[in-house]
Amino acid sequence: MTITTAPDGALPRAEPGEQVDDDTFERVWQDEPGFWGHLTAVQNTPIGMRFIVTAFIFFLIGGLTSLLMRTQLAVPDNTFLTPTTYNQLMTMHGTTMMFLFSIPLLQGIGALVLPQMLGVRELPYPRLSAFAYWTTLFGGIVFYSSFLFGLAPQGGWYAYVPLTGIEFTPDLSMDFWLLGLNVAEIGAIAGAIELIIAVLKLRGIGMTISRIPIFAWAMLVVGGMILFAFTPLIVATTLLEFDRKLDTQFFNAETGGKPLLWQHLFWIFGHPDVYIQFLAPVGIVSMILPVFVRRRLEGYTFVALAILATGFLSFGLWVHHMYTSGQSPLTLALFSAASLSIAIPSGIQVFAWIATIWGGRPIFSTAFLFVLGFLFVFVLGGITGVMLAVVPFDWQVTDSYFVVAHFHYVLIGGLVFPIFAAFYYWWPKYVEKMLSERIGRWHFGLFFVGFNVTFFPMHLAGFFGMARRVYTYQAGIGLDVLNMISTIGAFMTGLGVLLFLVNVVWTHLRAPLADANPWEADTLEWGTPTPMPQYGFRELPIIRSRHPLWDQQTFEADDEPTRRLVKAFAQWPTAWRAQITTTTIDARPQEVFRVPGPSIWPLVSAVALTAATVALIFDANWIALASFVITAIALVIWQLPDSIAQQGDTEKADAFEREHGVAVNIEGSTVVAGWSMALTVLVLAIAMASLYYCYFYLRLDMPVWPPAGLGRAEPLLPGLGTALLLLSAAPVWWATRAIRHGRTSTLMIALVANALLTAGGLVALILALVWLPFGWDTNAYGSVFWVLLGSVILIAITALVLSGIAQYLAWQGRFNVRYHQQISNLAVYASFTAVTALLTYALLYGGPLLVGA
Amino acid sequence: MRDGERRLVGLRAIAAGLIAVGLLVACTPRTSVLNPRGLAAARIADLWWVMFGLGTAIFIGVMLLLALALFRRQRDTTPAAGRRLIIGGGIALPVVVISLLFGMTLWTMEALAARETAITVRVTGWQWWWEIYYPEEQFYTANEIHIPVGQPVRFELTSGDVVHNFWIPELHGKFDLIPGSTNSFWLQADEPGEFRGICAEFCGEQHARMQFVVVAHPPDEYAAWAAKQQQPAAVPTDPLLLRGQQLFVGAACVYCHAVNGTNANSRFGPDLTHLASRRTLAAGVLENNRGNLAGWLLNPQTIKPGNKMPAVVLKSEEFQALLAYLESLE
Repeated sequence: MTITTAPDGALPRAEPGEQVDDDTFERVWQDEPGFWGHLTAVQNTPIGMRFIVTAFIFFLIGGLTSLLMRTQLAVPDNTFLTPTTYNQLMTMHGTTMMFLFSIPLLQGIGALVLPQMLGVRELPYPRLSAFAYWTTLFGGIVFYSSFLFGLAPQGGWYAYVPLTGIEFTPDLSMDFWLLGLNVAEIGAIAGAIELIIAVLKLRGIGMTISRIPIFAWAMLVVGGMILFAFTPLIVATTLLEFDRKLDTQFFNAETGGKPLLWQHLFWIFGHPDVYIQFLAPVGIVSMILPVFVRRRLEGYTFVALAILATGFLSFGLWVHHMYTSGQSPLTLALFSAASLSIAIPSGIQVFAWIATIWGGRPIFSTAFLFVLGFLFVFVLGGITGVMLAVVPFDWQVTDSYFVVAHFHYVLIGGLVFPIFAAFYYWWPKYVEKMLSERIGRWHFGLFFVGFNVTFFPMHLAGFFGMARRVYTYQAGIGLDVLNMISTIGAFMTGLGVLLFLVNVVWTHLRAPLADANPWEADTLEWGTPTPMPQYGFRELPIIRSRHPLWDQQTFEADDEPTRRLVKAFAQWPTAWRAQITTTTIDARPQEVFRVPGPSIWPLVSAVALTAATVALIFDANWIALASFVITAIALVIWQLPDSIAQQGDTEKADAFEREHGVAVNIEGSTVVAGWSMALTVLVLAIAMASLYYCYFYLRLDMPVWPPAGLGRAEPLLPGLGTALLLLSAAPVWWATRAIRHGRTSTLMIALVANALLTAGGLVALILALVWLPFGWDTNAYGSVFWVLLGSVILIAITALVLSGIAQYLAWQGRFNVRYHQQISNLAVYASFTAVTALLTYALLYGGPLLVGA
Repeated sequence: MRDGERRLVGLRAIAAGLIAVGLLVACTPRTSVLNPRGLAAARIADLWWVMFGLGTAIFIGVMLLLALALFRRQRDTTPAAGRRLIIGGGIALPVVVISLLFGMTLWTMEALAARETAITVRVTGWQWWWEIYYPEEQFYTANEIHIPVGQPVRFELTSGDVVHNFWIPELHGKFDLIPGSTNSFWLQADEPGEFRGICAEFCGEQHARMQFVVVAHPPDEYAAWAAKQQQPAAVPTDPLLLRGQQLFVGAACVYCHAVNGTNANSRFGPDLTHLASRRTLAAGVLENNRGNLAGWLLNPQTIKPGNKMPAVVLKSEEFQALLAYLESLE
């Protein structure tokens, strides 16, 4: 097989002579200069870099905590660390690696690499990326600031109640953990929405669904998984925080709460989370491995489907973390079968990689060595993972060092090895230097050997009765030698990471500018010059292959209309950042739109959100409320469309639209706005579904429901409120239809009707809530009732705010036939509010009747 | 390529070395999942050895295939060959293996399913000790469980505070102790002996030092032990012991501890009726002897920081009397 590789920067760029205003174009895509520019930057390149650097620093901190723990465990009955310090480090290590290292790092690689890999200029919603970054950073800082107050959490990374409840952890340490993580998780969800829309709607022209790079498939699936996994986690952490601060009774066994509810909610998140952490990296492996064996990935469709299947399956496995908690044999058997079946999609990928190597010619660069290291470690960890799905065996080894060994094989194997491979691979493109291969080999060798020396003996330590999370162990029970070996290995691994840092510094000082495509890779990010301009491509490449740089001689369109569109798009618009969305399946141009530029508001809203969180930790509730309001205002301001940049743009847009038949949206993409509203509604729906799950779980095995001795909740008033909310959506739908036909005269009436109905429903529900004959602190029934009804009220309040914004814009005369996305979005949101209100009402007021209590 | 070959051989040598070290360590006798002394643990160990064989074969097979793929000379291959490899290795092989494992899972679970038992042990987890109650014989003890050999014994687990986990590696797998609910299972020891018991769920500061001892006796010995445990503590006649008992019931001890036959009957801390007959102190942390008991009474917060036992502050001769009394609680 012959492969032709495009020479440096060989993608077509506009000829110098043709360019009308090169300077404006370049300037528009630059961030603002100076310190202010750093604060307002939203471009995917700086944001992706920041994510990666921040996450890597957290990785180093997490690694240091593990070295301290290994030092403590080196010898039996050691007193190097106190039990409390050890437990704090153990908690920080797990939490840091799971929440502050892996997810942010993967989102960072996604943000950095995806746009150009997909053949476009930028992510769909750059300000959301910036917000995601700031919340991740601030959440991590809040979390780590607990050390400054001497209040580092020590409940373990899965924070089982009641140990983490107010009775057994009365200090503020768990509040730092819960609230700090909530902020970081909001960042994760924001980033996920961004990545989903990027892969679905912002691909280069011609990148049909069967040409999407595997990494993009993986990020798409990962994005979806984050929505479905992190939302229940936010619900869980919020409920636990309510239990701690407001005396709700969700997890208190004495008042009808269930400690196991926490475990279910946590692992509904926790299990998919683990798969999130290796799916994205195996996507990276599927990109890197073919490049270094000079052969296309075998079984592309198999691998893409395997990733999708893993994503779906991962939500049916959570109970396998709870085999010892007393589940029924039927439940155990079901979850055992589901857990075993994950071996199939994993097997498909492993054999697809081997088949690819089989037909290729391997080049043993450092990046490829890390891929091979990944294969070794991941296959071993996968095999022990299959063993853990076997219920009786799991009873023996769960919560022991066998499991510690297993998940480090899977997570370091499945995540850290591919990440290092990704660093060595993409470094020349994004840092513009080649990392030293010589140091790299030592880095790989030390890391690989050190890793195995550390973790292999832990399998045996688990067999010999070493429970997980112990700060020490007795001498003479067979654990001394094993632990000493593990500690030596840990320091070897640490030395490997240190060598990586040496490599970074050394090459940063010494190495020359890297070539544009030093590995002769196949994907489009390598088709940009080095250093890469902020926009990646001025003239968008046309994609005709899964491996464009290997297969395509030219990146121009075959057909004349597309060729003319691309040429024209390179010349106009230049005064603002512009992108093209494409159709989901066959990637035809759909819409030219303006991407939001630099803005301070993502930072402002993240700061305000963090301030609210810190205020909540210290019970400064009024400051918290004020900060939440500021957050909301900042979020609204950043969404408002910027004013049109230049005179005459509207006319040019009309002309462009007429000539090329592609919609031009100067005020922002209607496609992206529609998708982000849909995904936001999805997230809220998942949150509500999690709360319904809580309701049913608390209801389970309760002889009397509602519990005896509670006053009856009066159904009439909330029924009226629900009915009003149901009606509120109708006028907006009617207005949407009208405006699509160009009729704007009745718009204001419809919006006012919507606002009045929503407000009326809201008042009725709020009154129903405050007049409830029981408090949220009476028992678990009272808690879940208050929280469910309260959630509907919150959703209705946001519906009212959205309605207000739409009215403001309508009053300013912003809406017309072409641009009325806020109205369509309001229609979607109002309908969601209506459905949620109805379901919740039926559950709360009809549920007890139906089950015949 | 030869360079890479050498490296891979090196890696494999390291891996082999690791396994060798592991096996070496495995040869020494001790508490181990692989050293089963009871029916359930034996069944699980069988399961492990089957999976170990399968897993090792698959791991070596995949690695050999990978090595072959990396270093083969011939480079021509067809997409059909690749697809065959993916379907054969990635779908057919796992389907066969996991079907087998699922069958074995159900088979083993069936063998360990609920069955008739004559003896019940009720275990309540506390930070960081174990309350043990024998409902049929109606007596309490702490941190030490006695069972007869060759008979299935039912365990009922619950917790008084946070989630704990009950694990005797040589006899069975783990089961959680969860506040507000009861988790039950049975196990059976097949030979007499003393086995280490462990709390395996993180339960706070002294999770590492929450252990217990299981003693399996021949049935008649067990019956004798149970009969002894049902007796109240002997009434002391010796003046020193009498003084010790007065100190015990007159001091803060009674707020937490019970000694059957005296007016000390609190269940907040471990029952001490037959303290001196137990093998360990402080939940499996210290060997039960006079020196350790004295040390524990004087410095409980040094030995097990954060536990609820306060240091005993008494004059020297009073302390000796108390110590002697506790030592007499056989």
